[in-house]
Amino acid sequence: MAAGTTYELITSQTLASDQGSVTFSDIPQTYTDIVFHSNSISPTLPQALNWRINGDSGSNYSRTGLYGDGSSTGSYRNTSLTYGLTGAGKTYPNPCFTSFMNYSNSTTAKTIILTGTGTDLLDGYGFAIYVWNSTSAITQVVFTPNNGGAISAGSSFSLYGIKAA
Amino acid sequence: MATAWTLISATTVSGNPLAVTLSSIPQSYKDLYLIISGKNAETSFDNSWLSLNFNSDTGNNYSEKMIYMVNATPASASTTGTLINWNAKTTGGSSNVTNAWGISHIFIPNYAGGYRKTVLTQGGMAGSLASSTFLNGTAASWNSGSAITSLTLTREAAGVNHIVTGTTIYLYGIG
Repeated sequence: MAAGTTYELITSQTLASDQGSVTFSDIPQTYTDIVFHSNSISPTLPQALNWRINGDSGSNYSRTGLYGDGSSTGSYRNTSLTYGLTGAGKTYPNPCFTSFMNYSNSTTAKTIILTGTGTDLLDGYGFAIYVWNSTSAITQVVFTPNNGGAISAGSSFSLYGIKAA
Repeated sequence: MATAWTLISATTVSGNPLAVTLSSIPQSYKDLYLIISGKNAETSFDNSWLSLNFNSDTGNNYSEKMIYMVNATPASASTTGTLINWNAKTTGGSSNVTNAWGISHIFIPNYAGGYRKTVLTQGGMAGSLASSTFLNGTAASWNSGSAITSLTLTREAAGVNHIVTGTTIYLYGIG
């Protein structure tokens, strides 16, 4: 069997100046999964970015997560959220992986797995799984600061497609 | 579409060294990703960490926060680097048990950029079938704006024991 490329860069954005949001539109529907590698700064408290899929701001997101802040561990479960969250740094870029599994199907709710950090390590390290309760194919993802403000210059976002994962 | 992952180097450790250095890392990628299947000669499970230093910097320039589990108990810890070979125990993926190898995945975004570097790791090791299974995730930081041109993998404890022959280290460039 011939081997093919399975992990491809779809597009990337590195901010040259502060921006109110970062949008990925017209996401190709030709992959099995898509993954965002973000390395971002959002100086307004709390330092996190929210993301919404296909412009959906309804109460259609839920999550379960586990984290360690350097001294203790914690977990959470939230339903009826209006967005998902990805970590960001206050002063320096902080990395997160946000994976949208089976994103292009039109029959099931979508599962998103996230690993990352935020707030220049003050938040520590965490894992989370989200469900977006929609059967629509994911064609757009928009990142915005969770509490207003801007996404700082120097932040970078890369969108990868994974085939036949 | 562009190929996203490129294998920069594949290293299979020989001679049971105290340290392994990957040098002359090309600056042409966006991110780096390390996959390590490792083992060391430490006899104490608690000391079975591997450590990572950048550009031969062994100063007090590293910090980390992690969540980890020893068997079924979650815990969290933080470290600020003050000692050589304790600076970034970010891998946590070695094993001292015969035929059980620890695994680490290490993501280093924007390694060639001018910002302080933040690193994500995930690792685990199986001490035995009955006990001492370990899992960790770490956010670590190297407080330097220098581009990363070399990586050095060592044992956590200074200069004792070694990285076992057969440990594999794959370094990928992304983007």
